[in-house]
Amino acid sequence: MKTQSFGQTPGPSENELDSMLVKTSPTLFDRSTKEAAFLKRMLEMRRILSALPTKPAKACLVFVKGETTAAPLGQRPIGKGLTVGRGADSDWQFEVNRQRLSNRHFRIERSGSEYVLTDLNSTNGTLLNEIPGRIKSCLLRDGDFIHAGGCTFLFIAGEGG
Amino acid sequence: MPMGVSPPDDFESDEIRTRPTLLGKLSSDSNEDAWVRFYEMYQGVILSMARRWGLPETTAWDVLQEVMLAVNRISHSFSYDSEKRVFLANTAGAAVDEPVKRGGFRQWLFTVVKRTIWKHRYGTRRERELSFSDLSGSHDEKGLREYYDRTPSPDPSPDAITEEKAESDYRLSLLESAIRLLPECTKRSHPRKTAIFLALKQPHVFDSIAQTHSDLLPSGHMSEIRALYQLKANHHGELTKPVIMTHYSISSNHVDQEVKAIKLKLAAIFTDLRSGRDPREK
Repeated sequence: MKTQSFGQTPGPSENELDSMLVKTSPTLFDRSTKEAAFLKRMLEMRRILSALPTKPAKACLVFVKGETTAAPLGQRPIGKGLTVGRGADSDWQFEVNRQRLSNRHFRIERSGSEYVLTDLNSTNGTLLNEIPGRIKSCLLRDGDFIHAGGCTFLFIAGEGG
Repeated sequence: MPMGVSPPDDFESDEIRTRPTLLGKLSSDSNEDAWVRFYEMYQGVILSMARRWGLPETTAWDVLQEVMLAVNRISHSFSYDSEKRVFLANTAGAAVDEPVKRGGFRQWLFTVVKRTIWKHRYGTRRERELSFSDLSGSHDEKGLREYYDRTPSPDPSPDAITEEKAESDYRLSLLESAIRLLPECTKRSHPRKTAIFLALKQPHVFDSIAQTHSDLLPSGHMSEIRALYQLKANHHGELTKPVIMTHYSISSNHVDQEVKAIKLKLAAIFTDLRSGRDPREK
């Protein structure tokens, strides 16, 4: 059996270990749920990006998950703005049988070099990433997941985003 | 193919580099284990650096997301020249004559992290400006409070963040990862050792675990921790070594040995993490 000892490069000495032990976060075990959810999203994002033929040069929204499927199902450039919903007046219209998606569910709008997500008073709300609350509006970041009416979308900021 | 370059002058002083095989595995689309390992190794230090620069919690996670995306973008071009002991990377699809990222992977990574933090702290990056539509109906108030906590540290002193400080943050976050991995890396007989160690050496962590309603550790560990926490309550909040000796009917020397065994295990897990090895593989 391999003998263990302190101070093995690059391990800590016993003194260093003792001094670090008092500095650790008291909730270091409690963070694991949030971290696990974040990691899951990063892995999913990576799978989706790998499945796309090329990384979009301009900002776009990728439909990645419906009620039953879990793969990139389509993408739309955002341009100056994009409205998503079931209604015919949405820029990206989804099947009418997606009852949990409102007619005009959410909109993404360009604001300078960034993009803003706004929930359009949808019935079932719009969620972002692991944030535990319905979003009214917020700035989007490259790699954000938007959950709306049983559908999941990945926001890609495009090159330089 | 990227052109080979000489190591930077201070490369040899960067005593440990991310394991070349891990970088190689990151470039494979199918190897998610490598990504999990990469995340476990670096997420703590990236978040810690962002927080120390005074970024609010939400923004610290944004920084982590941006850095993960940056690594994903560049991962397909990772290569390692074992002869020159140098990490090479080229941006995806970049022409041969484009600048080559060079040197230790951590060096490159921390440069990306600092640049991202700077962009949020001083640059043009706007804050998330989250607004919620149904705060009153939320059943997860704690989570919402966390996302609402957008107050930067009172004294971020970003200019005081030195390489040395980044290194010490990195080591602290590695230790926290090592503590989290303890239950997975120790034998079945270790729940008692772990509980004694936490009670005596990490009382702040011990109290936090015991006071949480959910099981943050495996059931065997939680049973020992809750039993010791009850013991602590019975002794007016004082859980001393003699109290533990009496509870388990063991000698002072035995308690010291149990604590030392866990500390040695932590040092070994720390060493593995720092070297890019998965301590759970042993």
